[in-house]
Amino acid sequence: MANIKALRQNPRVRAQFIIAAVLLSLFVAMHFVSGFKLLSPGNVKLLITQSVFPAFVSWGMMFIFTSGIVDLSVGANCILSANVGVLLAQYLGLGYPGLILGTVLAAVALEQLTIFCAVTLKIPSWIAGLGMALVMESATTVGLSAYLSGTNILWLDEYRALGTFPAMLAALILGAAVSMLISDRTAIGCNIRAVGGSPHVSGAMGIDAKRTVILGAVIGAAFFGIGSVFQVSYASKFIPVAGLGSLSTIFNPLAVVLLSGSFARYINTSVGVLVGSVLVTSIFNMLTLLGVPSGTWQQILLGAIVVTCGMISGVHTKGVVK
Amino acid sequence: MTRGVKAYMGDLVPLFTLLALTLFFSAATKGALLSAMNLNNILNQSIPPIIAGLGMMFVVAMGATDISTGVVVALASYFACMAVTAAGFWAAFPAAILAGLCTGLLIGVINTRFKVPSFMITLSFVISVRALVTLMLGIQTLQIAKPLRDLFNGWAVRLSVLAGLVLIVVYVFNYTPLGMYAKAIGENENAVKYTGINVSKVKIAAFAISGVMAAIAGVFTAARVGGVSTTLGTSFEMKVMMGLFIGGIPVSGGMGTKVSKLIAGCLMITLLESGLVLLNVSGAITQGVRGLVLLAAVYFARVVSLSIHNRAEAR
Amino acid sequence: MTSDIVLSVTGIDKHFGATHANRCITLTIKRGTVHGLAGENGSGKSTLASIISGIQAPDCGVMFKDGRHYTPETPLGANRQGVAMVVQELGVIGGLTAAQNLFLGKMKQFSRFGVVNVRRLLEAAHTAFAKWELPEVPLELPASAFSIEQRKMLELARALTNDPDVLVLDEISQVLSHDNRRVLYRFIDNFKAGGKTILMVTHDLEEMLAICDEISILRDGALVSTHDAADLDADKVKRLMIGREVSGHYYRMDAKADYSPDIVLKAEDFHVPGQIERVSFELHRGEILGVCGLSDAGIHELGTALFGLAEHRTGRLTYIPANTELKSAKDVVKTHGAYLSKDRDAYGLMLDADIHSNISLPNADRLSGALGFQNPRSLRALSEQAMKDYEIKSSGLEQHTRRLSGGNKQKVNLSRWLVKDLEYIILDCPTRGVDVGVKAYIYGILMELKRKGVGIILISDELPEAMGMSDRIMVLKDHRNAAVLNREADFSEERIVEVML
Repeated sequence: MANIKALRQNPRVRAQFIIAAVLLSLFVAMHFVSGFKLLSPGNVKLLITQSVFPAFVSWGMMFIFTSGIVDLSVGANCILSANVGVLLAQYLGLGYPGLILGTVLAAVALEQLTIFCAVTLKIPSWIAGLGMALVMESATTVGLSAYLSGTNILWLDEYRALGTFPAMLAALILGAAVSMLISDRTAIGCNIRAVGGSPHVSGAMGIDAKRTVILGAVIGAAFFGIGSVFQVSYASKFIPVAGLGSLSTIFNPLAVVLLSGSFARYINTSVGVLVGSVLVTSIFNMLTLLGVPSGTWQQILLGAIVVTCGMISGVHTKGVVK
Repeated sequence: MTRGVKAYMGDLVPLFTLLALTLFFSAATKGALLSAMNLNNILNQSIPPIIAGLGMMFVVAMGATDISTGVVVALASYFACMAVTAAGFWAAFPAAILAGLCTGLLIGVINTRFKVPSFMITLSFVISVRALVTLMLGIQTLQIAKPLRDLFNGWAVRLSVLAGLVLIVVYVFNYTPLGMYAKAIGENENAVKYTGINVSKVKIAAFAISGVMAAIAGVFTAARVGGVSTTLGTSFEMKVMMGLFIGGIPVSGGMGTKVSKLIAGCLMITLLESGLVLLNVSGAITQGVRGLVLLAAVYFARVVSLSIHNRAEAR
Repeated sequence: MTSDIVLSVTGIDKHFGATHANRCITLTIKRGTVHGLAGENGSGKSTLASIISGIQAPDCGVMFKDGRHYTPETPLGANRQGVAMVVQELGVIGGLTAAQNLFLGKMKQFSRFGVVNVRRLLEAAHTAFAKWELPEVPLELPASAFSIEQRKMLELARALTNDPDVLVLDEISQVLSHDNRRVLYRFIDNFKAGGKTILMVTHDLEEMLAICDEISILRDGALVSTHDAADLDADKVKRLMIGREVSGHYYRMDAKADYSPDIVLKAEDFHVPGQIERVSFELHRGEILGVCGLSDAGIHELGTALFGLAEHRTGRLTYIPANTELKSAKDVVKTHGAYLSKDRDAYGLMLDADIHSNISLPNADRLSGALGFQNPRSLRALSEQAMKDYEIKSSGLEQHTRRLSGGNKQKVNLSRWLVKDLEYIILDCPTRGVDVGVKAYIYGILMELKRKGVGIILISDELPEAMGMSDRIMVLKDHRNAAVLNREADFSEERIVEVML
């Protein structure tokens, strides 16, 4: 339709070119720094595999956060739902349907509890999230120790086809496509952004805010539920944690969501999440390749990245920041 | 003057709850809760959250959030232990306080200068400062020097330090401009800004105070458990936050923030946990109960304050 | 009910706290006309427009459209009954594209199995602009990337997707450039030609006289009269708007500027990007310097910037008696200056705190002694003093500020600055949202301050107020200092309006 010249003059397209160029050179640079290991075929496979879970959680969080709910229970939710899925698949003999449906439905149901606390009980969403995270972590531990003896780790031995490479790659592509479809091509995707942007105006246009937030949470939870299915299929376990340890699960996604949100003017957010997840995964992969210890220096860097992303998205913020 | 009485009744709700909790658990544990030894324990365990809460109160009064308290406890105790080894017993306090002060200042500066929500900054600190402590500690567990441990063994020292800190904070919070500004920011930040007060300075000061008090609480905790490990202070910030919110301090801060509510709240949460331990409830369930109590406390605090407000409005 | 009346309102009454915004307004609007609402700020025309649009519910009164009861409980309800609006309160949402904004809440008609057909959506959006020959905005870009003009056009197009037969336009042309105003006028002609009706609120009297068929004039919330536009001219509208009997008695009586030659404040090349363009002026002791301008001329921004709260401010502001440069709000307070924001509830008071806290806030620093100690007794004494001196009516210092009337809120807001000795004060619309009695009281306070030698900058939306109180008036136009007029020589509404436009 439009000719190339017109495209080049479009500021959005120009920004996209610049971002693509920066990303490309970043990856090449990281490839060099890692001693030509980062972009080797085997490692690219690994990068893609490891990006699946953060990407799906980020897509999920995108739908929930966009409607104005800052939910911190997502990590605990993933852990609990994945274990429900494993339990159904392996121990109750329901196979793949049990694994997939069990995990996703559990994620959706649990997310609704958090949304209930935030929307109906009007508890500030971050506190509702923290409270529910404590409850869900505890429920996971209590439930599993009631079922197993001596350990609280549930292993997925069979039904792990989804954790293999081609499936993971397909998941990443499909996930991006579906996320784009829902957020840009459906009424609910549009309504979620409208309610998050201005409840007042969207209300005047006939949009039911509460219903929209609830639906957004269903979609979001389905996304991170599916992400959990892939993660548990790949890693064969999802270890329960205590004392809000689940927060570290959502740290990568939090950085990715913030980053893709602040580039929303130039890049479609769903695509931004995909690129961001691969980028963050690659950065940590590079650090591991360089021998940087994962429990310490990488975590310190992770915290720094989240704060930096917060600063980038805060550049245009006007008004009160608590 | 009836309104005064009613507002007063609102303040008394946490005290009644405390009483009810005490009665329930002493019945359920057949009196074990109120044994001299257990009371001793409860009081002892309440001291660190009260001290840290005294600092966090400044942040909460502004309607902001500081969940870095737990990791500051670990960081400050680490520096305290190192200082004791390097320079002797009394170096522990300045080292710990300096660590807390720097963390608080950093949070405050990022929050005001770069407009990152405090909650997000402190969340990152939970991850990265914990990692920093792990990095510095390696696999060892630092033992705290014996004189420091002994110092906090006596009730006289513990209580006088606590009383001193409570008095200082009551003074700053209720009788100086800083305390008034912190509460006013929670009521209406723009109103404070438009009276010519440097809101950024107040915010940075509040985060710094929160960091310092968390550090002092850290020295107490380290002295009680005898050293520093990588997990020291894990989810301590939740305990402090619960103390504040169960006590009836509103999440949005403002004039309803009071020291007495904090103390009642911290006693309550310790009492609750102690009761659960005596009833042989597992750690995991205790954590779940904590979560539910947090949700319930915030919900009821809002409902109660609304109903008091409405009743006043209706007259 | 004759069929040529499309909309009639009867006995519409509306209070906001103590402010009586609409007083029993009865009005009929004829089909196929452009009906203008004229009045000063605070005369209730925007309130009436928002009641007709379903944004606010009247306290009492009924409305009829096409002879049937018209009950718009929400803007959506108004749309369903054939009334659409472009008003301040319902902007566009920045995170959505233009096309999504256009059909927000109506996505279903483009969806199949829940998936929106984007091509059809864009076509429909394109048609929406083309149908009325409006300048199309980039349909696929998020609205956050748009200029104010583009946003307004988008809002207009959005209103028109409802296919209304009555369109409410509240202050739309103010933000439009010359070209786009012509587009708007052409649209209005086309719209009218289709037998449809427009209710228009505008400050631009010339514009109103040129395009309206009938004009209703409101004053102090009540309808004064409705006229054929052909029978009116600008002077006549102004006379009706101001109403001779109102002006005069509570403003100052002298016709002469009267202030000391000593300068208190001096602004040189005062500049805030996009808000204020190189403004310079001097404020003298005992002078009331009025600041007037159209609502986008930058008068309120000037107040914020003088108080040191604007970002990227350049130029100098000097407190002459001590020869200190004022860079921040703190400097202003230190040199015994004060500032009152236009939006009292958002930027002035802590509504959920008691009166005592509100009065103490700006005085806390000044009254604290060694170690920052604030004596609760001296703070209390100060609050009691303020309450007594400024006749704040309340049940006591512990009363929540939210429950005070607008006038008493403003007294709290003012008194907390006035209890200390001031050298100068910047007031942004100090009589906004207060009743006539408190208005007169505040003017009395201004005269008292003037006598004491305090320099006063009075930013005002209301020309009569500025003219009635000021020694000099600085008129801002397009963010620049367009003229400084003198009380004895140039104080006439015509003269000021001439500079403003």
